[in-house]
Amino acid sequence: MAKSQLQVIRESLQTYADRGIFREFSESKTGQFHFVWLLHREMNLQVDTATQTLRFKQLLPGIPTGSALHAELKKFLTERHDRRLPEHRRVDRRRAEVSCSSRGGMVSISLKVKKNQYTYGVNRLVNLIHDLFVYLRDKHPDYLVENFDVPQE
Amino acid sequence: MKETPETNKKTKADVSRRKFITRAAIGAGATAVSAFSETKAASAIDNPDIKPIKVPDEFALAAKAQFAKAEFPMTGAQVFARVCKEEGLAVLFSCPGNYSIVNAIAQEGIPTYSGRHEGAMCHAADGFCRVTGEVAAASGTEGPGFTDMINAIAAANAARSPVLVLASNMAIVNEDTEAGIQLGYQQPTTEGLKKYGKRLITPKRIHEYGAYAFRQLRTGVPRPVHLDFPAEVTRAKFEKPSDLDYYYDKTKYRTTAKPYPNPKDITAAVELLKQAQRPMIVSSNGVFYSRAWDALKTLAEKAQIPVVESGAMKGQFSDASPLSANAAPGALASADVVVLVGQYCMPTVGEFAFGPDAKYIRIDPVAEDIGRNLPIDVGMVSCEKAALEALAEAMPAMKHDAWIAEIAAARKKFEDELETFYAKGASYTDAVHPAVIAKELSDFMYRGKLPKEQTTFVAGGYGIARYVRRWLRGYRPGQILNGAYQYGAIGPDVGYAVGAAVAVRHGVSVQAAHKSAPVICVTGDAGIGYTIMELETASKYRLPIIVIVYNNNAWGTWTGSSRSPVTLSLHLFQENVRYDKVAEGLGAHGEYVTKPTDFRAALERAYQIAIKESRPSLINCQAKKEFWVRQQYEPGFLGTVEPGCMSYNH
Ligand SMILES: Cc1ncc(C[n+]2csc(CCOP(=O)(O)OP(=O)(O)O)c2C)c(N)n1
Repeated sequence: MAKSQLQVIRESLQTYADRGIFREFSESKTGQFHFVWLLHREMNLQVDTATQTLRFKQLLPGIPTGSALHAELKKFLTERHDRRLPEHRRVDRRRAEVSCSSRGGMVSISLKVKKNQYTYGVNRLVNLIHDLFVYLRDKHPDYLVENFDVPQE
Repeated sequence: MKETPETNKKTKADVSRRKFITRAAIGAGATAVSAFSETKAASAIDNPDIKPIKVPDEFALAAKAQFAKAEFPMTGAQVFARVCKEEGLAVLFSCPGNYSIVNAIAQEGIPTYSGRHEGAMCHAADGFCRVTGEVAAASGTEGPGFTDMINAIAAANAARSPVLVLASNMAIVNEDTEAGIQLGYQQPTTEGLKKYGKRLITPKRIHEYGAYAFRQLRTGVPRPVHLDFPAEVTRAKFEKPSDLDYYYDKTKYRTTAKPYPNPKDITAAVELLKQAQRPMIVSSNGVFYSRAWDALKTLAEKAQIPVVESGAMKGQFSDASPLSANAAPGALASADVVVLVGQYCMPTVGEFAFGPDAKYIRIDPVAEDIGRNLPIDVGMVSCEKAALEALAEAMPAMKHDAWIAEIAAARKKFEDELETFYAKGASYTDAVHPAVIAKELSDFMYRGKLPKEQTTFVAGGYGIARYVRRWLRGYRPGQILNGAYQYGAIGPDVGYAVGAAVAVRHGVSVQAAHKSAPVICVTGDAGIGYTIMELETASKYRLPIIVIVYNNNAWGTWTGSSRSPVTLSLHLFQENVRYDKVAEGLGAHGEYVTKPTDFRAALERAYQIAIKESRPSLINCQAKKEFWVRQQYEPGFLGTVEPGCMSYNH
C-alpha cells in the first residue's frame, strides 16, 4: 500500500532525528512535530496535507510586521527561489513555494508544496531554515542575542 | 590634507626621537638580543632632565653568554632543566619567581624571557605554540604568580596548546602550617584546565616526572601540563645519575609512533568521498600540530576537494589556492561530505554552517572524542598526517568543477560585500571605522611591498576581530594566530604577540623563513588594558610588534546595555584615551590616528620602526562606539559564520 503523505513527511523528518541532527524528536498530535535543533530551541513543524503546507510555527520572535528585519526576511525568503542559486540551494518554484506570516511579532515560515512532493518539500524547508539561521548569525548577531539567548560574545 | 598642530608635533617628535636610537637591534633571542638602544618618550624630547628609556647593559651581556651543559652533581631543578633541554623545549616565558627552575632552564641555554605579568607570559607561551606547533613553557612563583596564570592556562587548554606550566611551591615540610607564605594546593586549581598535572613530591623522581610531562605534551591531542615544584624537590642534590630513579633517555620513556588509520576506515571514507558531489575538508589544529599541510595539499589537489580552516591558527592551506573556501562562507551549506581533520574543539549541530544533509568523516588521533557533538558517518582514529597521506594515496584523481565554481562565486560575493563595507567605513570621516583598518591592513600585508606570506598576525579583539578576520588571509602554516579561540577571553593579545614575535625572531619551525620579520596584532580598547604592560617587555627585548588598538571608548559589549544609562556606564571608558602615549612611556613607538585617511601612513611608519629599530609600536585608532549600531552606521556590529576566515570559536 502506498504510504500516506503524512508518513512520507514523518519518515523524512525521522531521518534527521536518526542522524542526530534533530534532538528530542516527537509528534504530539498527528502532523505536529517537535524537535530541538540549531540554537537549542524547540521548533514546531505543523503539517497540513489538505493545503500541502509545512509550517515552522512561531519560529522567529521579536520581528514586528513592517519592521526593517521583517522586510529583510521576506527578501531573504524570496531569494531562495532565485534561479541563480545552485539547484541544491534553491527552492524550485515549480515544486514548492516559501512564505512567511507574522502575528504579534512572531514570524512563522511555511512551504507550500506542489503535487504532494513532500520528500522534496521537507528537505528544502529544513535546508532553508538552516540557511536562515546562518544568515542571522552573520548579519544579525544582536537579534539572536536578544531573542534566542545566544551569548553576546 | 591639512595637518593639525597635534600631528605636526608628532612628526617632528618622530624625527628627533630617531636620533636617540643609536643602534638597531636585530637580535636572535631573549638572551641574545644583539643591540640595545635608548628611547625617549615624546614628552621627554625637549627636556634634558628627563632621562631616556634605556635597556640595561646586562641584556647585551646576556646575549653573549655561553651555555654549558650542567654536570653531576646536580640539583633537582637542574635535572628538570636537562629534561627540558633534551626534549627540545623551545622557550620559557616567565616572571621572577620559581627561581631554581627558571634559572636552571635559562642556564641550559633555552631562550628565556621575562615579562610583566605571569598571565601574559603564559599567553605568550600559548601564542608561541600556536604559531610554531612546538612546546613552550610558562613559569610563575607559587601563590600569586601561579594564580595569575589561571586564565591563560584555561585559554591554552581550550585551544589545545602544548603549554608546559611550571610553578614553584613552598617546602612540603611546612605543609598545612601556614608558616611562611604562599603555600597552596595548586593542582586542584587547574582541574579541568589541563591534560596532566602533578605536584612533585619525591625528589629522586624528578626526571621521571619530566618524562611524564613531555609524554603528555608530545603525544595525542596537546593541552597544558602543570607541574609544581616544592622546594625539597628543586633543591635536592644528586651526586650521580644512579641517585635518581628512572634516569634514562627520551627514546626509552616515550614513543614517536603515531596511530595509523585502519584500512577499513580509509575505504569507507574513500567510498563516501567518491560519491560526494561537493566534498569539503575542514583543516584544524591537528593538521598544524602533526605538520600535515603537504599531505592536505596533495589530497585536496588530487581529488579536487576544497578546504576550509578553523582553529587556533590558520594558514595550513594557502588562501591563494582556488580550492580555499575560507572566504566563501556562502558555499559552506552546499557541502555534502565534510572531512573534519584535527578539529579538536568540535562544534555542536548548527554551529558550523554545513547543512543538515552533510555527512561527516572525522579524523582524530584519539578515539574518545570522535562522535561528540557532531554525529559522524565515518570515524577514523589516526594521526592527521598519516590519515591524509593514506587518503591522498587511496583517492582517485577527481574533478569537481561545478563545485569549485560555486566556491569561486561565493568568494566573489563575500569579497564584493567586503568592498561595500569598506566604502561605507571610509565614508565616515570623523573617526576610524573598523572596515578601514581591516581593508588597509590587508592591502598592506598582502598587496603591497611585503611578500604576502611574510607577516605573522595575531588576530585578537572582539568587535574589531569580526571585521579584521574577514579580510585576513593565510598563505603558509603559522601565519595567523586566531586569538583567544574557544575560551574567548579578551585581553591576551599583546601576550600572544610577544610569544609570536619571539617565535619569529628565533625562526622556530614554520617561522624559519620569516625570521625577525615584524608581527602585527589587532586588539580592542578593552582588550589592550589587560596586557598593555607587555609592550615594555617587547620594547626591552626589541621585539618588532605592531599593536593596532581599535579604540571605541567602550567595551564592545555596550550595545546590550544601550537603553539604560546606569548599565551602559558600566561599559564605558573615558573617551579618547591615549594608549599610544602609554606605549611611548613603555619604550614603544606610539601613533594616534583620528581620521581614516591617516591610518595607512601610521602603519607604514610603525612598520619602518619595526624593521629599522626592531622596536614595537602601538597604533591607537580612534573610533566611536556607535559604529556598532547598524541603524546609525552601517554595517554595524558583524556576526560570524564558521568555519573559514570568520571562525572564532572552534
Ligand atoms: C576577560 C574577559 N572579560 C570579559 C569578557 C566578556 N566580553 C567579551 S567581548 C567584551 C568586550 C570587548 O571589548 P573590546 O576589547 O573593546 O573590543 P572591541 O569590540 O572594541 O573590538 C567583553 C566584556 C571576556 N570575553 N573576557
